[in-house]
Amino acid sequence: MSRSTKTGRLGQTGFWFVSPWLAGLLLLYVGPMFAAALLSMTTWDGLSWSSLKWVGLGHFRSLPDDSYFIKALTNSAVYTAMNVPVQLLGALGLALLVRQSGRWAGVWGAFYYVPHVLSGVATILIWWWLLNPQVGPINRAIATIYEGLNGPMAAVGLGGTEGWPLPPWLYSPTWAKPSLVMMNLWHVGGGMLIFLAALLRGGDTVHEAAMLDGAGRLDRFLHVTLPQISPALLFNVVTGVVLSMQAFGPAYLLQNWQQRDGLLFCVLHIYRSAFEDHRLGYAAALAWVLLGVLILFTGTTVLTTRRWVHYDFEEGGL
Amino acid sequence: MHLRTGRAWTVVRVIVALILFMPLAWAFWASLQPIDEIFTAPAEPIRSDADTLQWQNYATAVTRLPFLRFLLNSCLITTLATIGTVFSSSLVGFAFARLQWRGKSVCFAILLATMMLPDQVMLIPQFLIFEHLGWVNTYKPLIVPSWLGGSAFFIFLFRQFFRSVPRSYEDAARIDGATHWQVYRHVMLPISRPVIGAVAALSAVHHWQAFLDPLVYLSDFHAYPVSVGLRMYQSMEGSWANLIMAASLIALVPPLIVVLLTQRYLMRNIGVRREGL
Repeated sequence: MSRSTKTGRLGQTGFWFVSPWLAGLLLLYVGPMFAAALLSMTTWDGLSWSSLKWVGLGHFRSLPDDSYFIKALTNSAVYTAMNVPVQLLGALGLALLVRQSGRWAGVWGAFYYVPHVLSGVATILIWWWLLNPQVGPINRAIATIYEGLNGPMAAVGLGGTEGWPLPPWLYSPTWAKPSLVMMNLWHVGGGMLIFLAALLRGGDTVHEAAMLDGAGRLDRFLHVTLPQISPALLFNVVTGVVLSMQAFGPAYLLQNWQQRDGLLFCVLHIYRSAFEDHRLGYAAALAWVLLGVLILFTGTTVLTTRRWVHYDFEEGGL
Repeated sequence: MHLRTGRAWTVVRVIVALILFMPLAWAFWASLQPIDEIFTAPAEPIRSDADTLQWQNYATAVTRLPFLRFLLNSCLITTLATIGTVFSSSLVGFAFARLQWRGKSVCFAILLATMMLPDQVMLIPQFLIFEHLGWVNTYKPLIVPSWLGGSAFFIFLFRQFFRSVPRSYEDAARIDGATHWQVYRHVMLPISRPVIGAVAALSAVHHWQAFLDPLVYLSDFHAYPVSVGLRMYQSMEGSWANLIMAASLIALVPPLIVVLLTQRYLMRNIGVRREGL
C-alpha cells in the first residue's frame, strides 16, 4: 500500500479493511440464506443428486398438519415463555444486589459472572447428575427435609410426609422444561452484567433527587430505575428470546424417552431432520420458518418498544 | 440503622454466592468418590477423611477416553479461532469507526441486523457450503468463520472503542505519512488492550464451549474437542458419575482461568457498551 492511498483512494482502501467481513457475510449469511430458500423447495437426502426433487412450497404448505413441527414450535415457545422472564428477574435481582454493595460492585459482579462463562456441556452434565431423581443431591436434600418435617407434623396431628412426591426433574414431560429453566438460572451472570452496567451508568443523582422529593422505594424503582435500564431490558429480552428459541445443547444432551418429546425444540428437530433423517429440504424449510418467527419477533419488539425505551441516559448511543 | 441493612444485604450476597458455588462443590466432592459411594451415601455432610477420596478418579477419567487429546484439540481450535476473531473484528471495527468508504452506512445497518440473526438457523445451508468445499471432517468450518469478521458483536465493540479515540492520536501519525494500515497497527491496536482482552476472552470461551458445530462437522472421535468428547462420557456404559464429574471439572478449568485473567476488561467493556441495540 503506497502513501498515495492516504487521500486519493480513501474510498477503496476502507473497503479492503472490511473485505474479510464482506466475504464472511456472503459465505456465511447471504449465500446460505439463498441456498436454504432454494433447498426448502426441494426434497433432498443430501447424499445423491437423484433424490433431489422440486416441490415448490410443498413443505411450507404441509407444516400446519405436521405434528412434529407443531410440537417443536410449541415446545420452544413454551420454554421461551418460561425461561425469559425467569432469566430477566434473576439477572435484574443479581444486578440490584451487586449495586447495593457500593464500591465492592466490581468484585461481586465478577464473582456472579463466573458461572455464565462455565455454561456448556460440562455444566449440563453436572446438572444432569444434580437433578437425578433417585440419587441426585437435590432430591436427597428434599427427601431429608420431608423426613425432618415428619416429627413436627405428627405433633400437630397432620400425619406424616410419607408418600410425598419427589420431582422427577428431567424424566417427565411436565418437569423437563422447568428443570432447564432452573439450570439456566445458574448462568444469569451475562444478563446481570448488562443490567449492572446500565444501573451504574445511570448514577445516583436522579435517585437522590427523587428521594428528596419524597418518592418511595417502589416509585423510585418504577420511575427512575426502570427507565434507566430500559435499553438494557430491551436488549436482554430480545437476546433472551432469540437464544431460548435456538436452545440446542441441553435438549440434545438431556433428552430421554420419559420426556415424551417434551424437549423436542425447534433446533433439535431441525438437527434430527437434517442429520439423522437426511431430510435436508424439510429441515431447510423449518429453519426458514424459525428465522421468520425470530425476525418478526425482533422487528416488532424493537419497533413497538420505542415508546418506553429511553435512550437519553445513553452517552451518545449508536 | 443504615449500617445494619447494609450488613443484611452482604449476608444475602454471600448466601447467593454459596448457592451459585454449590453445584461445583458437589461435582468436586462426587468426582473424588468411589462410584458406589455417590449412589449409596445418605445425604450426610461431606466426609473429610482423606482415605475415601479417590484422586485416582481423575487419572481414570482422562485415560478411559482420549481426554488429553480432546483437550489438545480444543486448545488448537480455540487459539486459532480467537486469534482470527481479534484480528479480523478489530480490522473491520477500525474501518467502520475511522475510515470513509462508499456503502459504509448500508454495511453498518447490515452488521447490526446480523447481530440479531440466529446462527443455528444457518446451520444446514452452511453445512452444505462447507461440504461442497470439502471442509467437513476438518477444523476449517470451526476456525475460518472467525477470520471473516468473527461476530458482529465483536466488530461493534471494537468500533465503539475506536470511535472514542481522540482524532489527535491519529493525526500525528497521518502527518508523518502513515497509511491506514500503519494507523491501525501502530496507533490503534496498542491502545486497545482492554477491548482486545474482552473480545479475546469472550471468543475463547465461546469456542471452548461450542457444541453444535463440532458435533455436525466432525465424525472422527480423535478429532473431537472437549465439548463433544464429554458427551461420550455421558453415554459410557454404567454412567460413571464420578468420572463424568472429574472430566467435566477439568473441562471447566480453561474458561475459569480465562475469565479470572480478563475479568477487569470484561467488567469494563461488555456491559457498558453492549446494549446499544
